[in-house]
Amino acid sequence: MKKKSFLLLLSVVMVLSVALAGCGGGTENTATNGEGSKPTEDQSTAKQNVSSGGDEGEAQLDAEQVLHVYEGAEPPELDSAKSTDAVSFEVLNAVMAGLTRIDETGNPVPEMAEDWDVSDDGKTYTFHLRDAKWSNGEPVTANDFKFAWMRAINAENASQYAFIFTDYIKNAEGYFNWTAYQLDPDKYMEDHDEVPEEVKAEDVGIKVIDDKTLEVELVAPTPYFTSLTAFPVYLPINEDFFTQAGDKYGTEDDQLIYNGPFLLTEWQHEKGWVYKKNPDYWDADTVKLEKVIVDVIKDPNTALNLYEAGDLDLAPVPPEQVPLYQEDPNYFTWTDLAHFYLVFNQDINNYQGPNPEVIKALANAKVRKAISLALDRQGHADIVLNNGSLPAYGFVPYGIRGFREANGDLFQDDPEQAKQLLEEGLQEAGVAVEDFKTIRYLTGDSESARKTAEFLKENLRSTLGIELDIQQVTFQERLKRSREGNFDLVLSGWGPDYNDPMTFMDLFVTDGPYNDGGYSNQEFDDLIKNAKVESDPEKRMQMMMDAEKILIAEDMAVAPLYFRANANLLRPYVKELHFHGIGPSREYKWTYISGKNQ
Amino acid sequence: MLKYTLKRFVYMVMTLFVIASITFFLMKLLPGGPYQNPERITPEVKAAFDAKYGLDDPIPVQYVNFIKNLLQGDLGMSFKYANRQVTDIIADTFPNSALIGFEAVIFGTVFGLLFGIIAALKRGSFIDYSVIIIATIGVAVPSFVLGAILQYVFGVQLKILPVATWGSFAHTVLPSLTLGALVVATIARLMRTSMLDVLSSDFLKTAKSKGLNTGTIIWRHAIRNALIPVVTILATLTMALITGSLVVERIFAVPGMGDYFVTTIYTNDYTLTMGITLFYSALYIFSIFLTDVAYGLIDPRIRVAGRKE
Repeated sequence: MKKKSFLLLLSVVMVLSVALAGCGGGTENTATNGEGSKPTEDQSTAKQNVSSGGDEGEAQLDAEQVLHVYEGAEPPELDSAKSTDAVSFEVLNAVMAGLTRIDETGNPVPEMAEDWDVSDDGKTYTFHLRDAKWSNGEPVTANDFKFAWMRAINAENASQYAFIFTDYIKNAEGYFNWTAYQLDPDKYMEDHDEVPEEVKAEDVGIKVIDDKTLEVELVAPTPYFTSLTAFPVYLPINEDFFTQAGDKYGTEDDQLIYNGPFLLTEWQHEKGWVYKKNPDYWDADTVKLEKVIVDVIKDPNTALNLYEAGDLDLAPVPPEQVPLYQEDPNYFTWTDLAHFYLVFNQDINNYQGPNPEVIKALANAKVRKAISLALDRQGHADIVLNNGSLPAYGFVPYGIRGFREANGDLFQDDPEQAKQLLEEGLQEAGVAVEDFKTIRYLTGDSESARKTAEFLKENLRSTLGIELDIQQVTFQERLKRSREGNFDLVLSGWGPDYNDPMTFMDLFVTDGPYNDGGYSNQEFDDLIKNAKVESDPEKRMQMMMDAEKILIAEDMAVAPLYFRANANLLRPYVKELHFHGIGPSREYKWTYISGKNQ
Repeated sequence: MLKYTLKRFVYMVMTLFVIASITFFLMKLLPGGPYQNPERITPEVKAAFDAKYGLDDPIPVQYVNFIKNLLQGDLGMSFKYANRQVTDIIADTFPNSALIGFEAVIFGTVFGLLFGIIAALKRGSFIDYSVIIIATIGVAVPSFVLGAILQYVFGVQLKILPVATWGSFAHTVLPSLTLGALVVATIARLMRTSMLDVLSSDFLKTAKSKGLNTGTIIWRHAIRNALIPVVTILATLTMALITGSLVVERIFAVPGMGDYFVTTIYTNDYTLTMGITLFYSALYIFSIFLTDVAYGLIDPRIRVAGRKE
């Protein structure tokens, strides 16, 4: 009896916390249920649907705690300091433990760090590590973190996520530049005007106070730093083991040691692997799953067939299959917090193409707004995507610290106003209507990219009489052309690296490396710059909201299109499997099997 | 004969060299680089990465370095699969592809020959037309359709064979059948045509009029002569099949190397693309060599001609 009432309480608390989080708290991401109506509502339904398996709160564990899932690829890089891809992140998150881990609601909870102190200026974090062991019996120490992080910021290792350290940690950027210079002075000087200042390893703001204490000094107060420390690139690496494994490190399951909830076993390249419960994990009591069997399935339709045959507990639903499964009780969608938007090329100095007049027109905010308002976003999300993706009327997606909920929709689709704006805008820009009849539209080569392109083409043709010249190219070619300015419009996507609106907002500062359209607005730049050093969280949030209003409502620097969701099927006996949009997308630590053989 | 073989070997190496060079320059024409995270790589990190792997050297310099390594037999490490030697990746995945490929070839050859011979002998009959129809379907239906149908029928509905993944002999059946269908169709058609050709030739009529029994005629004279065109394509067909099929391996989640032919190009994994291309080319060239040898075994006339040279 006692147990039951406790569970009831627990489920009430859970539902409440989710509801609260949905109302502007800090929920990161959860699965959304079927039809995407209101995002806040979705998140709470999803919670029940996906993670807890209903209000009953029955936690009858099955005797057999085995989960069978798929991955779309082999993990290419299990050296956490150099890892970048989704599959590697997921594997690392299951078998390793960082300072913190992201819980169900998207908030960081203690993992290897028992607790931490933050200095008054918000710039120094002192992490107190708990007694934990690697799978070879060695203790997890502060040096394991320092060693891993220093590798990531040493240019010699060419870690592609180095910026997730150098942007935050004191002197990390200097150290990166110095090591890059050391690597090849001549080449460094080709890109830079002066020799970088020497930064020694000990000057970097990562300090080992003792075996169990790690002190991190930051460049600026970073309220989300403990979320960052849950990011896989921040995981610890045992120096002795790493040195001993040499260049075999991370290539086989016995070439790694583990400190996470699971151990990586039976890894057969390209075929799959098995996570086995780690008995030495500090929080082993919480981990219920004995085994997670992972098969590499590259074709989503195959995964779906395996699910139908009972060989998988989780399956993706490819877009063309959505209508068949939408009514299935096990169908659910979850947003991965990625935003897809149209970039307008508005920088005539960085333009390659046949018709500079188009760029001249796109440099005008009214013209950009006209194109943006002419799009039917709801129709696109419902008809073309049809998988729970939401139409976007702002830049930062739902589910990132309540930002979108608080800043609201910044505009509406409005074909009538669009016509008028186009006329005015072209006049202001001094571009003849005939010169703005055809716009190049650059996009990916997938089937869904083609459908989106055709939908948008029809939108613009019917409302504004503008023809889109659709150019479908491979991913790499699209990136190349985007960076070179060889486009008029391009469909781009961005997903968050950490749980804060800044991961989206600082894309569009003047001359930012991802600001392909060449948008520039001094007021926006100042707000972002100030927000980055502001220590009052509320003021900081306000600055970013104001910045977003300038970016979208005033300037329409880009045209938001949709916040992406993924459609999946999950067997109802799988409980508490959490889905996240940031970092590793599945979290197995709290998952259990209940009622499989009923 | 030795001189002939040596000469052929030198040609083989030269061909490989040309293939390697062309592949190298083609890959350098591709946009982007072998970055895992090309969308977010910052210019600073990109510069460090390029410097580390010599990707910022002028192309001719990179080419010379590449050839140097190649001559030492060093295919290098994959860019995408960290710390994994290209040779290891091939060694891991090729046996799986080869297993399915061989099964498909055996299945395809046995049934292809059988169908082809029967059709030719019963020309114009119901059996003949059935074989022609099956063969046409076999060639025309793409493997992703056939694979999906087989998977759905035998895996999902009847549950007699595994839907996908890898592990036991049962797992190889459906992918082999899918892959083999094309072989059955190709060989059956070829064998039928070739048999008909031989059956109407003069020497066969002579044999018949000499009073040899039909079994001997068909076995010793007709089939043996009709096999030559089949053998011609068999070696190259085998090489194409054992190196893996992207489509079949994806549908049945086979851990083979077929997928790499395409995906490594998307990710600009220069070393792995090169390794796989060279591996495939070497096998292919070798198979042509084998074909020549096999000709001699089947048809003494070719052997004699070879000797004269």
